[in-house]
Amino acid sequence: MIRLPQQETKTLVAIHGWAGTALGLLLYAVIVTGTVAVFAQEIRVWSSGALQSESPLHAPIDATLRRLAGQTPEQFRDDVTLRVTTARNVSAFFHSHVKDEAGQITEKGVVWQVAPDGRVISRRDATRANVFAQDTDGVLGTFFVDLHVRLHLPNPYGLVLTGVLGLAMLAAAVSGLLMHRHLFTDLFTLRGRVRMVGLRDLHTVAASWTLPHAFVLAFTGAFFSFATSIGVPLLAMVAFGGDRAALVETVVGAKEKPDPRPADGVNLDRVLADARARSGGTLISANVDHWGRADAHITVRSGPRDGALGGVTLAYDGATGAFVGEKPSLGTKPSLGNTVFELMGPLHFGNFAGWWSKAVWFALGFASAYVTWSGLGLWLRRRDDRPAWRAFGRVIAWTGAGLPFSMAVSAAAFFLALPSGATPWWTPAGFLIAAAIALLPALVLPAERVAPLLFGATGLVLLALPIIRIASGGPGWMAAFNASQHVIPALDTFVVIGGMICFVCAATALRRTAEGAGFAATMTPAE
Amino acid sequence: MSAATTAAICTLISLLGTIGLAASDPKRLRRKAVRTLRLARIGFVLLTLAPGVWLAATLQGVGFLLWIGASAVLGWVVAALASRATASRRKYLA
Repeated sequence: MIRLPQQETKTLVAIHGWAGTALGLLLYAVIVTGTVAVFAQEIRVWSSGALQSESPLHAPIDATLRRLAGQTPEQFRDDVTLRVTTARNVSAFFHSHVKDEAGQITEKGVVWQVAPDGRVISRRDATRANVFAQDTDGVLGTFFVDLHVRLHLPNPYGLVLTGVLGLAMLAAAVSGLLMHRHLFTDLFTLRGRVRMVGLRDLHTVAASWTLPHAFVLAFTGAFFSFATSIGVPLLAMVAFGGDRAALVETVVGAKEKPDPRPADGVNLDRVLADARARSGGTLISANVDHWGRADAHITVRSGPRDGALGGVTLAYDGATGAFVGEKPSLGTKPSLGNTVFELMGPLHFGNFAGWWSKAVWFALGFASAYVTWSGLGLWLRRRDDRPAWRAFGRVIAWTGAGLPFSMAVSAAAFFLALPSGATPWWTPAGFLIAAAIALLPALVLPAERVAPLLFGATGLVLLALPIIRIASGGPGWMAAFNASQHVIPALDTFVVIGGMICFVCAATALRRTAEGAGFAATMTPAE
Repeated sequence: MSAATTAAICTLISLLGTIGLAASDPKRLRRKAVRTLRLARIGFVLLTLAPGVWLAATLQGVGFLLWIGASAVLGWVVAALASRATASRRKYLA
């Protein structure tokens, strides 16, 4: 129990309420999209219908790469970056470092998309900014991630905004912890929905159980947003006089002395096999610096092995294939700062133990979204006698239930546009059209009927998604099982279960409203 | 044994403790906690927290994170179900 003087408690209540109300709707949007984005990689596989489940970097690639190097203009053969695409092909980006129109150093070259059997699928001129532009299969997952990371606002404004939202969440969590006098004794106290005190219980019990998670997510989220948008430029300006290259060299480590003599280079398949054995995880990407030179350098990034929180980056000599060592993300040797930095990702993304950790992080995200929405509802019901707050109630209903509806419709729009290849346009367009449609009931219907109606509509779209997916050319369950691709049936099942839950929630809310336990009945200002 | 399996076993043990805590919650039952109930509740608290302490002490980071996350979600579910059970019992008795 935390006992504070009455005046301080009042101040904390004001901070908690206003921090939540002023930014609550945007925070809710970031949390809901983040909850879905936990499964971003699985959503990419599910939506693209990729049947290959094994990383293509586990298959032989060296001969194909040498063939492609021969077909790539010599000025772009300095470095090559290998990544796994959504459709489980390899994207090989041969590039050089050149100055763009703004005088900034960027990567420019040719990107090849290669199937696991060595077949070339596409070839395109690219820069670092648009190297993934052709990955139209992964648009749906990327759309949700971008919505979560920067609310689709241009850089750096979107990142700064989500960083501020992270701080607001942290302020709400700390103030909520301090002002809640009976944190442990009230962990199981839920006194129904009929009275205002019962509604407050729903908010505080969910918030109390998910408090550690709220702290972690708010802190790591704010860190990721501010680190790239403000932290790095500020550090470069203060400590390196604006020289970002010097900053990167200090943080990542200085490059070795150049040796431009031509060299045949090591067989990359041998290096990748060694990296796979050493890391114990799935290979995600590989990079060859100074391709075909005596000072060639190879780095291979892997996902986490069983029991490890994060993956590793392994460094090899590109000429001999000798293992150089494990490369920290920050600096050149292991440090406490690097350990803390490397913990941030797994703690925020929940991707350290496959489906298990993702399912837990998804559930915690759902609980956090519930805390935000119930908090907004609670704040509003205490001010229900004022017309301006009543109008805000409609906005909350529209955002709260309209966001999941719009996300479901954007997925449907993605599938419908998949055969034509117009997914980059139709996925956000579907989202915006659905948001506009959801506005109609919010303007016309009584406030307490808006959310049930939109949740019902979300349920309908979710139930239809697997059918739309298969109708638009996606693989069926038998084909997926035969290819050992379990992501597709698993996500189909989750989507259907989600649809049924939406229907049950909508029916329950409508029943409660009809019984008189809805919006008006909970107005007991004396409490 | 994989990290996820270890964490699942630890979470189940903690879930038993959480159910015990919910079932013996004096505030929810509207009953004053007598000495035997208090002792039982201390036992349930230990049962809930001990698996997490063991995972942390043995430096099983993945297991600990899975345990704390899953226990939080299941604790919330238990609180909701316990409240529902109490409400139906009261309705039945009335």
